[in-house]
Formats: sequence, structure tokens, C-alpha cells
Amino acid sequence: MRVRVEHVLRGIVIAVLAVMLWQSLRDQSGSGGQSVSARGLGALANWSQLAKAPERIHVRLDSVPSPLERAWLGALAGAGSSVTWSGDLPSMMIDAQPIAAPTGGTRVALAAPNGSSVVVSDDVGVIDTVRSLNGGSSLALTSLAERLTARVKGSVASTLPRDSVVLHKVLVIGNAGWESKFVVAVLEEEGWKVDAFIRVAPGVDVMQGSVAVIDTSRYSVVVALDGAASPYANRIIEFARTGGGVVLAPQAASLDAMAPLRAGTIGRPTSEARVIQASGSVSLATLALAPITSLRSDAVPLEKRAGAVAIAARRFGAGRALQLGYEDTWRWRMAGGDGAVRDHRVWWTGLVSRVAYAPRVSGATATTASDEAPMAGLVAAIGPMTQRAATSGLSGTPPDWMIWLFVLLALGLVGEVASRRLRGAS
Amino acid sequence: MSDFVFCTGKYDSGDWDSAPSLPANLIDSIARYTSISVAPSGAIVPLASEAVLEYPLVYLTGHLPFRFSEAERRNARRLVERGGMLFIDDHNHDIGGVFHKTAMEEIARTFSQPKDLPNDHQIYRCFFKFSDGPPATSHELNGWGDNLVHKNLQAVMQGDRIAVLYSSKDYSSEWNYHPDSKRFSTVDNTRFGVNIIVYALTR
Repeated sequence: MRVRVEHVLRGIVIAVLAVMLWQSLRDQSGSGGQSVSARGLGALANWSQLAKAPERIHVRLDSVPSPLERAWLGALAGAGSSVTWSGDLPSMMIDAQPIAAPTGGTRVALAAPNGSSVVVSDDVGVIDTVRSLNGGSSLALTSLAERLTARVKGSVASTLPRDSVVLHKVLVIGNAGWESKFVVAVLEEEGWKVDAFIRVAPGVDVMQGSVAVIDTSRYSVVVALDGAASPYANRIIEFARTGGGVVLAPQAASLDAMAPLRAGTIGRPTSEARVIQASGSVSLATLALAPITSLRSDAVPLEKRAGAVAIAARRFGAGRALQLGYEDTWRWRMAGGDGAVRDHRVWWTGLVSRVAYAPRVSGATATTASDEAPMAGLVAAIGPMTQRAATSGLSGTPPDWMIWLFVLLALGLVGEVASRRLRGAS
Repeated sequence: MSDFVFCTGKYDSGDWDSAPSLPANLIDSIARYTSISVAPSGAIVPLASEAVLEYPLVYLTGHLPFRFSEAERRNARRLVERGGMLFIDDHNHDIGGVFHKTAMEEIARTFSQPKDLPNDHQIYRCFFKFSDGPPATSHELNGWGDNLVHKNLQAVMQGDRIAVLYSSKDYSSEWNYHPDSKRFSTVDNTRFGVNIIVYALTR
């Protein structure tokens, strides 16, 4: 019985060796009609050097291939091979757009799987690591060196910010009061060139700058604070229709003449945040708020406070209109904490830059190829992921079944030799 | 949007309340001549309290020695650094008087040495026009106090904006009367007060 088992094992070993030899000779011959499978893309060159392209190629990927590798796979597919891939690859994307503000900077938008850590770098080094929430994340960079890259689990997306924007002045229209004074002040502090119509008395406006016709050749944004904007409503609406940006404070948004621009109706204001208990008690969270209700279908809420919409925006013609619910934001600057002046200034310039009319100016031609959405590039090159593996392996990493065959061979050999030794046979 | 509230600053060292009718008089003038939404009553706020930061224009006056406490100095600096303005008027109209001497020292200590404000500055034409600079007061013309007609106001500037406006002209006496009495004047002498407020609200 034992001898019979040994014979069976020996037979299995010989059979396995024969299969592997046959497979090896078949691969060497480069005969067509075969299927190949590999882990990674190390075998790309081998596949391309075969006398006849494999009929089916399946690659198992640990990271998204580079543009060169994707193009190579695409070329193999173009040469007649059926190229498929599988692997747990992160879908990712990076995009960099110039910020429409005098201080410049770049807004980086990232898409990555929920919860993943995205390492953002430029040519100098790592800039930041951000966690992807709801499928993405964004960050604003004041400066960067050439190429921006984002890495998730070994996959890399890259982009080259190339554009800059042309900014015109901001026009502020309002009645004389602290809000108009400080809105003009913060925008100027942030580097915006500001013209202002400040209504002091009937027929008496304090004008700042060379106030000109309201159109996109002169202004990027109009900030309408209150009823002083009423006489200019038609011009402001036309300005937005032709691409200009408009920011409406609650009192301006409540004007009937501004109805076409409104993102929603103006709710009942909360009580003013007047009482200062301690230093820094006035903040954005404590400002009086006239919530924006009954949003239009095309309006997008940008900020909420306790469930109420505080800021909403919508497209209007070729331009954008942003409606504020916050009142008397100057209190934040004057009576806020130590960073309130900066925070208030940055907040206002952020609002203005969100809607600013800022035509692009293309920069120098890129010298390095960018790869903003490598996963999309892979799908475009060889199609979506498939779990189907090819039936035989070629150079590169051996397919799974070859490994199991080798294990079977080793076990058979060890079993047969051990059995013979244990019974004393040579 | 909230109303403009005229704020009188209360400080510990002197008689901060020496011109109690002035706020009501200037509030009346603002309501009379402009469309600025103004609160019917002024506010009196301790300069040592951070509540003063809710009032970006603060009026200070007095006859007695003028010196800030540490808390008052800190809040005065914060108010000015954040874009507010102080209007300080010498109720003595006397450049040899204690208020003037101590106030100038305190301004220099807290901010910087005030300088003469040019008489063609925006503050003299932002609403009413004063082609000769600051209007003279009856106290100056009557020879009271130091018996001088002061040609200029002084100011500490922050960039091109007045941060601290100092007057030796005694507007506190000039404007310290019930608003109803304006009807007896051919020219309203509070008009320059309107300019100060319009300037503070628009620059």
C-alpha cells in the first residue's frame, strides 16, 4: 500500500513537472492565442517583444499606472490584445485653480476615497496631509513650486497650475454706517482696489475712487449692502447677467428690485450679539443672522448656522450672486478676539473671490505632463476594472495557479522521499 | 443694519461728563442733515470696558488731568488699531491747561505724537465745506481760555485715516446746549460735528 502511494506521488510529481515544462516551452515560443496574467507592470516590455501579441492580458495592480504605462497598455490593446485589469486602486483626482483675489494663491481640489489620507506635495516637498471627507477635500495654498502631486496608497495624481486671472475693482454701495466703512476697509487691506458709493444724505454720496459705469470691464464684484443700492439695481442685475459677481447683504437682498438675484427670501433676524461678556465674545457664530429661507431651486447653500442657511449662492446669467444672512459683520472685527481682524478680512475676501468675475490668462506651456485623474485615465485607456484573470502566465509575476502547482509538486516530492526514507529504502 | 450710536467715553481720571448736552445735540444734527440711521440716544461706555469696542467712534472730553488706566489704554489702542476713531476735545480751551498738557502726553504715550491736521483735509469737506479748516468757536473769539484762535486740529494718523482727532478749540462748550436752541442761531455751529461723524463712518 505504502509503495503504491509512493508511486502515485511520483506520478503526480512527474505530471506536474511535465505541465510546467510544457507551459514554459509554450511561453518561450511566443505562440499567439495565449492569455497572460501578471502582478504589476514589470512585464510590459516582455509582452511587447513577443513575436505575436498575447490574445488576452490581465494585470493586477497595486497602484495606478503612470501615464506612460497606461499608454503602453492602451497600445497593447490597440495591437489586438484584450487588456483587462484588477486591483483595489483608489479613485483620485487633483485640480488646481487660481484664487480670484489680489493676494493670489491656488485652490486645490482633491477627490479620494472617503477617510483616506491624501499627501499633497510640490517640487519642494510635502505641503500638507488632508483627510478626504465625503469623497474629497480642498485646501488653499498661498504659494507653490511648479508641479503639485497628491498621493493615496502609492497612487499619484499630479497637476501643473498654469493659469492666472485678471481682477478688476470691487464696487461697494451702501449707506454711511459702520458696515459700509469696514467692508471697504477690509477689502482694501486685503489688496482689492475698491470704489464706493456711500450714501450720506438724499442726493449726497461720498464717493471713493473713480466710480465708473457698472460693467465687467471695470468691476469684478459689486457689494450691495442696503437700500442705497436700489437706484443701481437694474445696472447691477445686468452686470451679473454679463458675468459679474454680486454680493448681497440682507438689507440689499430684501429690496424688491434685487429679487431676480436673490438666492432665497430673507427670514426674521435673530437678536443682535451686542453684549460683550468677555474678550473675543463676538464672532461669526454670534452675529445677528437673517436666515435665508425658501431657497430657489438653483441656489446652493454655502454656510449654515444651527440649521439655518447663512450664505447661499446661485448662478445668474453668466455671473454669480451670493446672498448673506449675516448682519453687522463689523462687530466681529471690532469686538472679536485677537484674530478677529484677520478672520473678518479673510472671510470677506473669500466671499468676494467666490463670485468675482476673473477672466483667465493662460500661463506658459507646461514643460512636464500633468496627470490630474490617473484612475480616469486608466479606465479611458483599457476600460473599467474586471476580476477575470487570464488562464496562463507569462513573464512577470507567475499566475496563482502556477504557484499552487509548484506547491503540489513540492509536497508530492517531499512526501514520496520521506516515505521511502522512513521505510529504509534508498 | 444697526443704527449709529454716539458714544461718550467714560474714563477714571477726570470729568468725562463735562458736556452732557453735546451728544443729544450732535445726534439731532445727524438726524437733521443726513440720512444716517442714528440712535435717538447716545451711549456712555467705560473706556476700561471691552464693550467700548462696539462703538468705533468715541468722544472724550474734560477739564481735569487726563490719564488712561492700563485697561483704558489697552482698549483705546485696540479700538484704533481695528479701525475705530477717538475724538478728544479740550473743554478748557487752554493749551497751558492741565487737560491739554496731560491729554497730549497720554496720546503720545498710547499712540504717537499728534501732528497738525492740514486745513484742506477731507474731514473739512466730507459733508459741509469748511474752506478755512476747523471752525472757530465763540470761546476762542471771545478770548477765553488761552486767548488763541487755534489754526489747526491735531491728529494721529493710521495710514491716511485719522485715528485720533484732538481739538484745543473747546467744541465741548460750543456744542453743549439743548438742540432746540439751534433755532436761535443763523448758522448751526454743530455742522463740523456732523463732518466728524460722517468722516468716521465713511473713511
